[in-house]
Amino acid sequence: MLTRKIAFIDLTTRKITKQEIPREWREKYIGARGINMLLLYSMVKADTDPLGPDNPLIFGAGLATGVPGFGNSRFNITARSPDTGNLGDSNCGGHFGPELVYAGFHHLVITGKSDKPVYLLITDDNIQIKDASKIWGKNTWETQVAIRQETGDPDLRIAAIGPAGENLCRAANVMTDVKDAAGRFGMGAVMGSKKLKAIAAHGSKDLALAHPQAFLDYFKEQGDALLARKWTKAMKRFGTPLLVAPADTGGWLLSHNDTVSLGEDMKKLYAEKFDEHSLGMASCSACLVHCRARYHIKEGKFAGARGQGPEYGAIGEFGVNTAVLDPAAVIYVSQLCNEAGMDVMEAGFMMGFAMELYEKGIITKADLGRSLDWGDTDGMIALVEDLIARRGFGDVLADGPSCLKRLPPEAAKYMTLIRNGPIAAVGGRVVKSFVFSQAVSTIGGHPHRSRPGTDVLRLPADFLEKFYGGPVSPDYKDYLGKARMVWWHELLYAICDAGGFCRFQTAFNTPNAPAWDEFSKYIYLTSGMDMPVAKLKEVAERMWTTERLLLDRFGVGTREYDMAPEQWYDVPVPAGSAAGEKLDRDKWREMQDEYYQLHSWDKNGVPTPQTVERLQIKPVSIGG
Amino acid sequence: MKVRLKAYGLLKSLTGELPGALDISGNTLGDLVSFLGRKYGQKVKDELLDEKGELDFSYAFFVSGERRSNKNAELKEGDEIVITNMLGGGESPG
Repeated sequence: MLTRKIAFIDLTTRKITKQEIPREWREKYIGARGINMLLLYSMVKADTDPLGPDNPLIFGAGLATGVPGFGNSRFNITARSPDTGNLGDSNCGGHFGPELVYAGFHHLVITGKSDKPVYLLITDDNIQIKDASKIWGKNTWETQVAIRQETGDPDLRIAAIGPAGENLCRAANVMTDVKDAAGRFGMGAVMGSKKLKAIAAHGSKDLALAHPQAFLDYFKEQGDALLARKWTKAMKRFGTPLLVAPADTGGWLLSHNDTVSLGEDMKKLYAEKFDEHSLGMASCSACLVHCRARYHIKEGKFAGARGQGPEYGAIGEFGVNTAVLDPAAVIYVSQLCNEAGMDVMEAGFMMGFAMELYEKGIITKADLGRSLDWGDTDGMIALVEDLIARRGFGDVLADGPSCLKRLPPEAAKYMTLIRNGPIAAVGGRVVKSFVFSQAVSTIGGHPHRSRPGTDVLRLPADFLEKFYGGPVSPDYKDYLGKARMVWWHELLYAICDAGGFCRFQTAFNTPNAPAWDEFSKYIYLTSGMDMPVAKLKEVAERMWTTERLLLDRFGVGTREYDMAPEQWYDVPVPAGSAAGEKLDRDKWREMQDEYYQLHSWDKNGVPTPQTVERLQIKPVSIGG
Repeated sequence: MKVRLKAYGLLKSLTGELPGALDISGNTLGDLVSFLGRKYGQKVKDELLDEKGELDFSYAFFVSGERRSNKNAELKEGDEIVITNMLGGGESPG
């Protein structure tokens, strides 16, 4: 594992440099998101144009990606985001990450801009820049087929952009396989700006595990424990659509651009309704859980549509947020996005935003070419198609949050952003750790970097105190200890990402899952690196502080940016079991204070020079 | 005592379609779980209780709209009980 290399690829000069990954980088940042951040910190400037040739597009597989373990399929793509203008970092599963590792590489740093469409072909230690003129314009599925046909290698695993990335839709994804997405904040647009259509990898290089037999024994032990857990069984059966029911009964998933409770109608979007179209479950590379549904719609308006997903987030945005209460429509439009390489969550968010603008009369039929009422399935699908193709009003929405510059000023209050990132489908007033995790997320309004999924389980207070090392309220609506909870999960998930492990197989849905001790042992058995828990926690602190320094460089790293959207403090949840909930500004400030203190940052949320010195954060010189 | 039960997620796949209205003996959530165990088999009881015999935290129990996490939580005539998997999560890793 430690033999994997890093390659620097300049698409302007077509120069490719390969080198060993210094052991010091491993010790300090482990891999994937960690080393990606060290590289971005060393390369990006305050004025780097996200869509310019100088914005580095950095791929990084986890240290243990490709080795059976805790869902070790993951890789990260990191760059300055063209969607938020700030830090962009996407974590993705599937099969591409492992194949990149098998081909000999853990990290790719892509700079410059090609004058014509190209793709990278990566086979055992070898990287070629190939002409992609004939595949430019194809969707992400067609692209994968075309590259496999052209090369005659059916086993290539491919990360590609579709029309959304080519058209520089600001929230375009990089997609692999059927629906695995490096999503949210526009890594596909960065790829499109470089005229890089795809990266295809196939390798056969030995993983060179440090302690193979002990690793196999440990994997068997951990795998058996995983399969015995109740949440694993639930995820194996339904996948993340299962989350819609608890979010509904808990009252935190709202409709109509996050303003209205749907009541009984929500049940039309429960997991069971999607299950009617399911062909069974599939998995990422070497995963025991299989949490992803495969769908084929056999009858009705969307007959013939097939694909994988949608996950909870897509259901929350395309279904709940827009009040399109038809699972088949949600499956169809998610697939449309997956094939086009468009982020489902931002596309769905934009549909809710546009529907509210239409309701308020800020945009009209003249702008849209049609009506766009809540629950308008055809209108939603047409507008998503326009967004991807940058047609008509879709072209405005394709600009992401910057679309506000092209709209009347009053439109701004209907767009719920955190650090200029559209929020995820969460109804942020209710679960305090959930909203705080979004507000301090280094990539903007997205909870997945630190969401304590255990927050809603109503675990006993004494258990929580022991688990998190300080008092934490068992009530998810309460504020006590929630900053600590977020901090604790931030650190754990940082190592999860750096190692290439899956969130769903660590202490995310349940506290009874692998965490620090297991990661430490696993890293030792597979790589031979001795990383005791205290050292892992220091790596995690270093990762977070490096990301925070990047935010500071981009001008959004201080406490006034660690805020929820204004309306979550002022407008209560209108109905449902969380009716009346809203955020309290004073208690919010207390959470911020506690959070900065836990990270050893100053009162304004900026890492102190002492912390930066203690963590030995410094840029490295880039050899490419 | 007559109550109404709605189940979602894995529990529903163990019980199949529920009749909706149930006539249970006893007046607590624990009594309801025992009733379901008798009616649909031990696997349902094993699913809803943890190794200590308490309500498993991976399920959420709502009694007429109020979240309840204790086996001794009281039920009354006509209550609607919702049982659903309680996974935290958020959305797919992205």
